[in-house]
Amino acid sequence: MRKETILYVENVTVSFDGFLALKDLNFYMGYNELRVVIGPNGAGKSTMLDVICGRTRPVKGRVIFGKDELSITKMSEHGIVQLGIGRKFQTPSLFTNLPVHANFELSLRKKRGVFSTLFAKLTSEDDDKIHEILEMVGLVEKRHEMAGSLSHGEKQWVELGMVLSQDPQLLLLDEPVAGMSIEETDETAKIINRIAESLGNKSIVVIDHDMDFVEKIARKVSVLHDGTLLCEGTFKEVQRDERVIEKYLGRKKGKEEESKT
Amino acid sequence: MANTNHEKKWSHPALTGSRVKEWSITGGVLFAFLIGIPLLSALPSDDAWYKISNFRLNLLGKFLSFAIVAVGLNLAWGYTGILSLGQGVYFGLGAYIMGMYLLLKVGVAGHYESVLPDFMVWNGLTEMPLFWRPMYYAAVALPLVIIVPVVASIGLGYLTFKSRVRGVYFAIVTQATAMILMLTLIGNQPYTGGTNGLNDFRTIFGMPLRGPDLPKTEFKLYLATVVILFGAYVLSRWIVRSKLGRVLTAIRDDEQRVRFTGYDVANFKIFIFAVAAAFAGIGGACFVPQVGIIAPANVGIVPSIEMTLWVAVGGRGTLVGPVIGAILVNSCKSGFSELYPGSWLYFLGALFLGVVVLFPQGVAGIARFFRRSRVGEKTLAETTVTTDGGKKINKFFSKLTLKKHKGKTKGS
Amino acid sequence: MNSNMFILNLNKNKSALLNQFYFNFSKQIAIFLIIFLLLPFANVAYSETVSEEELDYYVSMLSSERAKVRKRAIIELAKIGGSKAEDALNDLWNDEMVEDIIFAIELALDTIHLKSTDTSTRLTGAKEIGAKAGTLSATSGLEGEIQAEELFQQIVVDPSQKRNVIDTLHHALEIEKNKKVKHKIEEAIQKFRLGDSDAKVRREAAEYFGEVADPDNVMVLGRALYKEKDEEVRAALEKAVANVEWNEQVAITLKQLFNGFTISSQYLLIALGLAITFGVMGVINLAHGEFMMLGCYVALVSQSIFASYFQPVLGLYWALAIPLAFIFTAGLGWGLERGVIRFLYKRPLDTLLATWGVSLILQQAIRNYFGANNIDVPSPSWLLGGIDPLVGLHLPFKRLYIIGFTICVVTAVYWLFYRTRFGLKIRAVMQNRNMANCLGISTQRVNAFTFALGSGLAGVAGCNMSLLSSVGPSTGQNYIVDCFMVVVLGGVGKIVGTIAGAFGLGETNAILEFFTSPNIGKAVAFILVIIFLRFRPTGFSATSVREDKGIVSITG
Repeated sequence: MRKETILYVENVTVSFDGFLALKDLNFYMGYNELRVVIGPNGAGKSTMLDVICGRTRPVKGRVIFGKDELSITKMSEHGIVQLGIGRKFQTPSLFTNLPVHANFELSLRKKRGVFSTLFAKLTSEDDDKIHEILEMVGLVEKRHEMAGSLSHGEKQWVELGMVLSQDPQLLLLDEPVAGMSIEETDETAKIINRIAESLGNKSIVVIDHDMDFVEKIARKVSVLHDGTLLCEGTFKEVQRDERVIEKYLGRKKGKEEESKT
Repeated sequence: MANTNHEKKWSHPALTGSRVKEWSITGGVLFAFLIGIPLLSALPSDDAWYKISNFRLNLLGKFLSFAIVAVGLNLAWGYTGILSLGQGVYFGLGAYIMGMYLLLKVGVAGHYESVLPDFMVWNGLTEMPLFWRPMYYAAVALPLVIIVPVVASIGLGYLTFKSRVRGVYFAIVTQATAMILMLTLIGNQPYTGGTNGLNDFRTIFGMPLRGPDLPKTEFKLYLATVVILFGAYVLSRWIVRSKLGRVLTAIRDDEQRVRFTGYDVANFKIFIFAVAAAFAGIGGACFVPQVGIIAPANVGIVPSIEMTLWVAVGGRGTLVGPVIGAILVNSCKSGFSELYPGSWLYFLGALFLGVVVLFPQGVAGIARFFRRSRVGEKTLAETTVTTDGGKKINKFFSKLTLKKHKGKTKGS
Repeated sequence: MNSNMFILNLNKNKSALLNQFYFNFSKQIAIFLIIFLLLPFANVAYSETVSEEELDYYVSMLSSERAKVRKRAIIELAKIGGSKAEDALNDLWNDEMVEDIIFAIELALDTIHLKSTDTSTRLTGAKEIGAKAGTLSATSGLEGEIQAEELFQQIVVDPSQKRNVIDTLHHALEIEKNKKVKHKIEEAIQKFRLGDSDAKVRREAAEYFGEVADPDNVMVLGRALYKEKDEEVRAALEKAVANVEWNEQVAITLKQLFNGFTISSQYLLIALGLAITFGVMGVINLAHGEFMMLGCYVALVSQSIFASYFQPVLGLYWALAIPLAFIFTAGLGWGLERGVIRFLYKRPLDTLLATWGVSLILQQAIRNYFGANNIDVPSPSWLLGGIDPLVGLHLPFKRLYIIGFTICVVTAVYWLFYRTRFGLKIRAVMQNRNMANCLGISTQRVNAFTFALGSGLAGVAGCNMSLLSSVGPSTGQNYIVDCFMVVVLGGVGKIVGTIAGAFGLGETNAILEFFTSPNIGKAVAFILVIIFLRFRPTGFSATSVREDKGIVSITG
């Protein structure tokens, strides 16, 4: 079991000025897996991603990643990225004053030192790779436009494309459909499913609480509540889980029924 | 950059293509002009309209050494978003090293006929201070003009960028460095000349810095400055158009995203800050022989902030802008000081306010406005520092809040 | 040479031996003569019954050719006292050429001052007599010993005058009410005793100075030690000197710390405004120093208004200056925020440049109206003087007032922030501007208010600054970088951080200044702050927040 695991999050506790955002969280990811993490606001979903990508330091516990089972708990953010963890943020975060293709170019898996960047040249392989990703996120037509001038949904895709350009082993997608229209959400679900089909050795963690979207992409689902893992299973299993119904889905269901009646 | 076998369909090789081309033309015209001025003046005819006096030429030479500083500062501020209010420090370090070299070349020809510079004798020193000694040799002093500012800037960059001090915070820390240098210079009068600084130079590379042959020297110094400025321009153009240049723009846009794209942001910042410092040091070294004095008043807080104005007036984030800005602001300054000495500060203050509030893209922005109304081109820097940017961000935030509401209803 | 002269020091010339001879020979007669001469005036000295004729007679004697006669007259006039005698003595002092007599005149004048009804005149009198007594004692006493002669100025004083002075001192000590004057009189008496021929008296005096341990006396004690032969007295003197030196060190250290404390208070008052505006808006106002400078000028204008229209209550100008300075600079700050800064919130770096432009304009405007030179603002009279908790440690009321004022203002700001509804709004905006906006807080109003408040604090600080130093158009620039560094050191978001930053920088500065020079001390303090940033980039008041949206991440 252990050797099939790409990421171990073990006994992680995070404290913000005394407030425990994560309490002894244990979370494991296998290779070639797409995992959806759901949970109410403040459950610690984003904080968990922050810990994995080095943005927040846990007060307790450790994070182990990859084939070499390296502890990345104390590594720098850019070091973790270079190791193969890519993160898409909740609010689109990209280089607004660069064209779309340059956003991807900078994200390509290349040497990232100051001087290797200064003397870097764009090879035809790079160009092909960029094209591939442009096609995948459906932005070929807009490749020369400034990223900042795109619509909100397009920006989300640009960021997704940037993470893909990094060629990471583990993709962390924080609410990839936030603020998207229904059509855009569907499109995004398709993109993610397309990625998931050709994962190889890679894995994806998606965080969201748009249940329609989650249903479209979900294979295995983890539910977080109050900084700990509540339960794991398929979407159906989770939906049927009593604790989840009580704490999360149930309330929503109740509301929906209310609105229907 | 070009790969001849493969046609680049997807990525534009020169990312800021047409814009850079246009600015290249502007740059070419500008430098042709700068070289042309003295050459025309050297023509034999006496009273031609195109002749400018030796005094004006020397003044222009001084402005061009400021322009070198501005080109460097623009790399840090205009392209990377690092505002330094202490660029006078690196300018000063370069200038003082050059000044030390020139003073030591005076030898025993000084007032006190001592090997020591006059101010040292006057302050009671009997021996040459250790750190002055290497400055006898041009082969040491000239490299130090670059090395010392670079080392100092890397030191500051390491202390601040590594711990992610940035923005306004970084700006006021750099302002403090300007204060530190000024206090150190004034507080160590026997070694630095105190408030009077270093002056009374006699020769540079065997050419006289006083007497009837001075205009000839000044002419050569002017040409040298133009050449160095051109070198700085070409170098900064190369940096900006490289992949590193795009990383710098990315850092200005969203530092955190760059970090999560796998770049060590601090190293890039240190690098570009050091390049800016090197340019400032070179600018200082060009300044000293042309002006004949370097004093704390040239390197403190006030001149340091003025340096940012040169960039702002010319147009930050453009290659030629800083050169135009430095010449323009300083011409205004000397013009005003001649015509209305009392009101220069009012004008300067209004210039600061005006360029920031009304024309954040400076002269280059105004030029682009006219060109765009002609061509209808959509430009890059438009989204950089315009007030439209504010609207966009507001729009973005309203979306964000919408989304948050949405999230709430779903979550609860 | 006058035989009835008490010889203090001798010239190293031929007449030295002769003098010595005369001295010994006439000592008995001299004492007899003095007693005889003093008898008729014993009661007169302090009475007002001296006749005009007598006074005129002695005044006329002052113009005598003979030094001896003039001396007599001086002594008598000193006993009589009064303004007329004083004037006459002053006139003579202007013309007199003989060193000894000049000394005698001065001593006489001091004696007259000692009897004055004005406390400060009495104080100077006592101080002056003390100083002269020190000189006399240090060079006197040991007859036949002339080894000290080369070191010290040769002064000879009439023994009758000396006696008269001592008597006057004793009398003054009895009737004196003012503690300070009393202390100075006591000191003067002890200084005379230090030159006494009796070793026991000298030892007692030395012990007295050991207890008082006033650094001002260290010279006198040193001189006394130099010529002292008696072992016991030497020991007492040495102990006294050691005591004085120790006290001096303590006093200097405390004084330095106290001065650091005052400057820190000023830093705090100025930096508080900066920190608040930066915390709420992410904006640093480079014209903040100029607002402070304007506060200085408000104090100046208020002072001159009172000086020309309300002269009798001049001291009350302060009550006008403080609120006026606050209202004026706060209004200006409000205008600056509404007129310029609010357009630049998305570009904080540009705000720096814009406010710098404003600062240049303000400086030039002041220069045009008030001139480029520094001006002294006369402090209100009730802030003059101070207390002396330790000998050699003077704490001026001005500085104590500044410290007290700062404590009050900081408490008020604290209350505003943590105990009022508006403070809650400000803190909400500080933490999450957009969320606060959504909750219906008018961030625009909060911005304008905080900016005005910060500017007003700077203006008030400027008022206080006028107590410490003279005021000029560039006063603001001299302090502003220090205050930025306080903000950097203290961090933003918590008032406690700013307090720690202000005192951290102020005291570090004061200590470094003591060991190096003001310039280098400040430079080193700044360098230390920058190094500190490497380890705590958010300053003292660092808080761990979920997103590093805090202070350091505000970019342009």
